[in-house]
Amino acid sequence: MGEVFVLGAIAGGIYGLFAVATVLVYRGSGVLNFAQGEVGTLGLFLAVWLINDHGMPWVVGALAAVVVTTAIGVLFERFVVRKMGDAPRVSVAVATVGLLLFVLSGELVRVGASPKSLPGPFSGNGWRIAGVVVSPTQALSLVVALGVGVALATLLRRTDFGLGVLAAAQDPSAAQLVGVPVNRVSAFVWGAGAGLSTVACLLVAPGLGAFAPGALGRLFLFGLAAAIVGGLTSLPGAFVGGLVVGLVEASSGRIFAESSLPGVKTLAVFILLLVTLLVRPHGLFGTRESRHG
Amino acid sequence: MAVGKRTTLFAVLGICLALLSACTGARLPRTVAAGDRDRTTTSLGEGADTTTGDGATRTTAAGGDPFAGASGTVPKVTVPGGGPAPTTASPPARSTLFTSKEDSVGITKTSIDLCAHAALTYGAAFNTSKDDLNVYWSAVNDAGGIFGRKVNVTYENDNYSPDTAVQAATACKGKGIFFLLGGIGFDQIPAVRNWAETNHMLYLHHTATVQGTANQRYSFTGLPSTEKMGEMFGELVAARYKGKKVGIIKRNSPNWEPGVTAFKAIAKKYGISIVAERAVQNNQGSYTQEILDMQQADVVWIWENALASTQIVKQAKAQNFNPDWLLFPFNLTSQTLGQDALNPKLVGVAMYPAYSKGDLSGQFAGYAEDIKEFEAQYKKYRPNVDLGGVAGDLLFLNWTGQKGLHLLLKQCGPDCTRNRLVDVLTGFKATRPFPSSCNVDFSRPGFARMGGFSVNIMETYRAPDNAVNWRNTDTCVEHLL
Repeated sequence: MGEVFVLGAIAGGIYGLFAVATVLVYRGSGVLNFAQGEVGTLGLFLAVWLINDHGMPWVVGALAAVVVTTAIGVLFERFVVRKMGDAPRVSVAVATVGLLLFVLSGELVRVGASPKSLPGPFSGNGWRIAGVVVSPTQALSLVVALGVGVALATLLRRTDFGLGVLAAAQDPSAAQLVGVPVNRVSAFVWGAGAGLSTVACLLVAPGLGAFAPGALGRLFLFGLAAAIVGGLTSLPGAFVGGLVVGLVEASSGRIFAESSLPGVKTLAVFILLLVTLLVRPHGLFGTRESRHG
Repeated sequence: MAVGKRTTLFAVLGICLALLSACTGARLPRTVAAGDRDRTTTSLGEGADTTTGDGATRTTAAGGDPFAGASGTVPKVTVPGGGPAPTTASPPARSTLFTSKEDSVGITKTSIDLCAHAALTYGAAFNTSKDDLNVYWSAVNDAGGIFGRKVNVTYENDNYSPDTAVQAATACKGKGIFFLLGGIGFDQIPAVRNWAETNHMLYLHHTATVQGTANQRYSFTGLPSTEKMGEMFGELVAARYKGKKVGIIKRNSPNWEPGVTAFKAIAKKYGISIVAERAVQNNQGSYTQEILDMQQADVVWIWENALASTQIVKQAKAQNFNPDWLLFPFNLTSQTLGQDALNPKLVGVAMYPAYSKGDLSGQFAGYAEDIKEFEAQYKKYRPNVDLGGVAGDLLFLNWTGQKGLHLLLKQCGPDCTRNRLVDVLTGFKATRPFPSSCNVDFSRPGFARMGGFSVNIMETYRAPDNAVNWRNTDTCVEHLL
């Protein structure tokens, strides 16, 4: 049982990070950004290039990766999202699928699909908890997911800018009329979402050991499930959703360890998602009234 | 839009994304899948010095092929019947698999058109391009082709997906090809084999299961089957790790499972204790739970593709779990793992020869001529290809496959047709026709047009150029016990 909790928490921290990024963009723009995982992976390759190939310190490579992908998020908002201002949000979501394919193709062309590896920010063997060795980076990812979720929630609730983000998402025209810098707000959520995804990827990569273009897609998908389970409008909910998804995955893996049923862990998460949508469509922490109409 | 509807809509989009990811990035790992290497061609790594059923043989110089004179390593060809090679019209083909209308599609007096389905999306995995893969044919064509015919090979992306592979095969057929080639992929080949039956397409493919081939007539491979690979991994454990406890991490796929069944049959026969067996999904990413379940094992067999194998070894190291590892040997894996691939040395079973740039020592010496020729051709045609990198061994096995195909086409003769090629294939039996090749024997009863029975046993080592590569420890062995 202890092993399941530890494994669930490790995975949950990863999913939580992806979920927080997803929720931020959704809450600020009403759009699910399907490209986030791959944009984060792109940042990862940039970090590999700087850290592994050019010998730069981890922090420098990581910061550069976050900055560049944040810029990609901002540029995508400027030249795609903003131009689709009046389009249905679903259309914008489809545009993010286009971005996903574009980034994926770019990675394959420029860096190839050979597995790469990236060290974590910390060395050391970590701690053995309930039979599982938890690395410092894995522990950090859990803390970062929680911290970012709480910090962003505070920002959105307690600051004028944060309230502007929410207002702009719910009614951009009205928000603009009352002086909310809608374009700046929109650029912020898209840029921050991309940057957060990169942070997630940077913290996930050392635990995976090796990665390649598209290889983090499944993790992002589980992050998306975590966002929906937690409530697409709740940043702390995203963190909790990540933990729930991680625990369901680990539990099903343990219960059906001997089973040859294909994809039992994925199936378990899919069932969790379906049950959530049927029983509590707004998720564990989301609220009906705060959704975008 | 109502909240619930919106959420549901996005959930649906999410599922679409899942499917998309399954068709794109998620495939990479398989990208580097088990046998993810010889994407181009056949696999029939054999060629000349062939003896067919009647026992009587005669020898001619390389089938009259102009390329023979250009290469010191193209062997002499023996064909049945005694006397010199025929210079007049050949007798009718014995095979009637193809109608007269189908028989000569894709072959003219000046050209042979072939097409391969392969995971082109991930060609970059090996830092290779189509031109890199066609170096062998460039050399052959520049030397006059095969009986004056230039060989043209084109490619269609199968994305490591059975469905896409069938689409690719259909596209290949639309080009009017002589026959279809199947690149690496345990999962897509069975689907294309079925397609080949209904579409009357001669299909030469990479390693796949024997299972599912009963009554099939159009598909051939000169490589060992999936079952044989599993059997040899089992024999390797029995021979090298006697008395040790074994764990299995395997791909959860019906196209991979027959290899596990064969492995377990050997384990049972030799009293090997299997302490854990865990199935994983393609591109699962995190394997911590499965690794924890292997803690009682001294030896772990990873029956997965290169990316997954790399991740599993890496993640096991992070869990302070350090067993002996058995897996598919790719330089892609060993170079990515670096020092982690040497402590302990990884051990592998392969249907292809090891390659480590410039190293002609040890068992490499046994096929040094092929290595020299390979490196010389790449230096001439694709000088920028990094043979010392992750692509080197993949390109070499691709090259050996093409060399085998070359010999097969020469065997087919100047009047080659699809039915004549089937005649050649069904009677094909060759002992090490060229140095880097193992034996091929299509005449064994009960093996459903699969002619490969030998494998290479490999281990990782520090190569002269300091890379961590694989080298053969046993070359072309059919059994270890």
